[in-house]
Amino acid sequence: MRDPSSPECDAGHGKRGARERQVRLPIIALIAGVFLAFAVPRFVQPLNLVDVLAFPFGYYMAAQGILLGFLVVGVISAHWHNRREARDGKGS
Amino acid sequence: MSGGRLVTLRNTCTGFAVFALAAVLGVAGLMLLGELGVPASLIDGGYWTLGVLLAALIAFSAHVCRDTANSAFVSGLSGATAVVSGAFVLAITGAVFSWGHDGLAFGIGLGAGCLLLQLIIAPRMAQRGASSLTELIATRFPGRPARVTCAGAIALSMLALLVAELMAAGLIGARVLGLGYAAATVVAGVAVLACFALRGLRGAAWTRGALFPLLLIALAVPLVILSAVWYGLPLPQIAYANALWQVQGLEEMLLEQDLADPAFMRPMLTPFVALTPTNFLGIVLGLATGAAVVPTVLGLSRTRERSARGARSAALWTLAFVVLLLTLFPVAAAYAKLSLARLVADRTPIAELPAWVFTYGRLGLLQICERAATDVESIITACAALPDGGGALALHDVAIDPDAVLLAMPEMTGLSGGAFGLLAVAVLAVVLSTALGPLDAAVRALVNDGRPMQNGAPRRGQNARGLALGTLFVAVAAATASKHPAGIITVATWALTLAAAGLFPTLFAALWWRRATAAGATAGMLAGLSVALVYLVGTQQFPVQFYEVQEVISGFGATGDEYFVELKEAWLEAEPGEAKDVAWAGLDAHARATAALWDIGSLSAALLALPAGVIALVAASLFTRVSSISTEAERVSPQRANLGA
Repeated sequence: MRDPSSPECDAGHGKRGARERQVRLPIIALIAGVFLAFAVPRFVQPLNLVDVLAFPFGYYMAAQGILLGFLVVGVISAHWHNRREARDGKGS
Repeated sequence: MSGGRLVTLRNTCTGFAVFALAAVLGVAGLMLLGELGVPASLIDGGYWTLGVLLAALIAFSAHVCRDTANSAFVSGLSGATAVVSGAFVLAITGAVFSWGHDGLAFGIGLGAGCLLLQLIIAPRMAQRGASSLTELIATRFPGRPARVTCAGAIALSMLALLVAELMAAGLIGARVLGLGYAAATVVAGVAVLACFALRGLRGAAWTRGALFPLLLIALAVPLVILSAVWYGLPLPQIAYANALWQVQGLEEMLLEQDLADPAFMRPMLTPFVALTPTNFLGIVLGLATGAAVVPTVLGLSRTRERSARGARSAALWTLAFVVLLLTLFPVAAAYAKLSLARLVADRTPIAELPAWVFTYGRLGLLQICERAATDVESIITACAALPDGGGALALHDVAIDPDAVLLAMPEMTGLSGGAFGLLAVAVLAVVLSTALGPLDAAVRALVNDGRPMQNGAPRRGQNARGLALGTLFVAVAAATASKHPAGIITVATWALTLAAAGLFPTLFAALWWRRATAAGATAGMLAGLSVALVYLVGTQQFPVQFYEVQEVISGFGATGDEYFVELKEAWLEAEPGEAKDVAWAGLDAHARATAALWDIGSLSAALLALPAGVIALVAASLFTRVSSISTEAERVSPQRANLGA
């Protein structure tokens, strides 16, 4: 998964740019987190029409699904950024 | 991971496991004494002593272990304990119990906060080489105004969090010591202060992580047992779906039999009954941005590697442990609610009500027919006095304090006293230990005039000054907590809202926006904090005046308006004396219930305060020049981080 979100704001700043390139704003992960935290709770009622693991899906999302979603977003983002920083570290 | 670090991690984890085992054995020993005929009050006192001893042990080990950084896993354990903290353990279960689906907003908020911490705050802070919020603000925004405002915002929000923690400790104290709530709060304050003195300003925060396994065991074991016995599936997070449907079925049945009032009903599965969607999202926003900036958590994401990678891993572990714990609270709430619904649906005669009803009734935490359930006779009298009284007990006749639900859950569900004891000991130890976090943060913010401490350690003389400040903070917090200003969930949410409003925009700008200036940061913190404070204090302390101002700002619905005018006229026309007081009480209660700008409740104040902070920060930054010192500091910090300085 390539994260096209990372702003290339540091390009052209020489050594400092190379250093600061290490950590970038994970915009896709942030959007996913915001979607889970703020959009999903708005759709609980329609989601409740479906049952998952014997739960109404909307309730399940609010009680556990959103939290597990955060964890998935966190794991993928950490993995992606760690790999990217390791690659940048070798390159610079 | 190198061999040496692996050995250290193994030693730490073994230490944590031994700690949890010692606590479990301690509770088992107390239970055994109970079986041998030792009075229950002494056993309950033993639970209190054990909880305080565990907290003191954590404080002492923090004093001995001067190493402030540890592996990502251990930092994650400690971070999770700090994020969830004792107050939220009690409060979130109570919120889900009393608000049904809408109470889940608090869990989502805390989880989102951990995600924010992991994505945008912890790695960047590690890269900057900053070990604390005050250090980052002091280097990034040089100058006294930003530093002092930041210290003020930290002190204020952490003081509020300390109040919430002391309220939780007071509640447990009231239950196990048999003292009044106010006295128990004071005793808890003394215990916190003793732990603070034992630990000192230099103590390592990660030792708190030892409490996480204990809390998890204390919470999960009763739920696993109940899930296995009731539904044959020892996985509470899945098995409690059955409980939800049973509660729904029972509530519908009680409604049909006129044993429940739809006006008081908060169905577990129906969203947006207790909160509007806007307020639900406001709570999520406030807790997410608040939990992400709480200084007690920020420092913990610094691991031994001191790299962005290490900080990210620590924050990820924090998120994982927090999620594990947060998914258990709704289970506890559902099982407690099911037990209560069964009690009413079985048409239990008042004379045969279980003992726990009176245990909590005598503490003023449970009311039946609008009277504290102290004994059978008083309940029978109270219920007979109601207009429709005399028949079977109805669901809305039983009102339990939401904050006490988790503590009462083992007894409500018919588990043995050991489950309650372990839960009380674990939550008490967590409350007392996590209360040290906000206390330490508030003291550190003020003891050095907002300047970060050299190498995180206090200078000569600062320990004594810190202890004096700590005593003052605990005294103020205990005095506030003993008055029970609101439910624990409300106070804890206000605390995180204040932290979010005051600190989040500035912290984000410090990390990600180079154009941000010291003046901008100061303006952002002041604006966010002021709006949050005006909103919280205005709606709670001066609701009538706030209501009048809000009418001007937002333009209000005609019905609410007319009723308010009627009440106000009644107050103006009332004769001085008792009549005027009664009229004022009615006016004040109505205003308090409806004072909400654009329908935003006080728990969702972040919806107003955060934008105010962001706008002030951006506007003031664009109108001022970036200081050359701050750009220099930015240039140096990454190097420090790379060198592991």
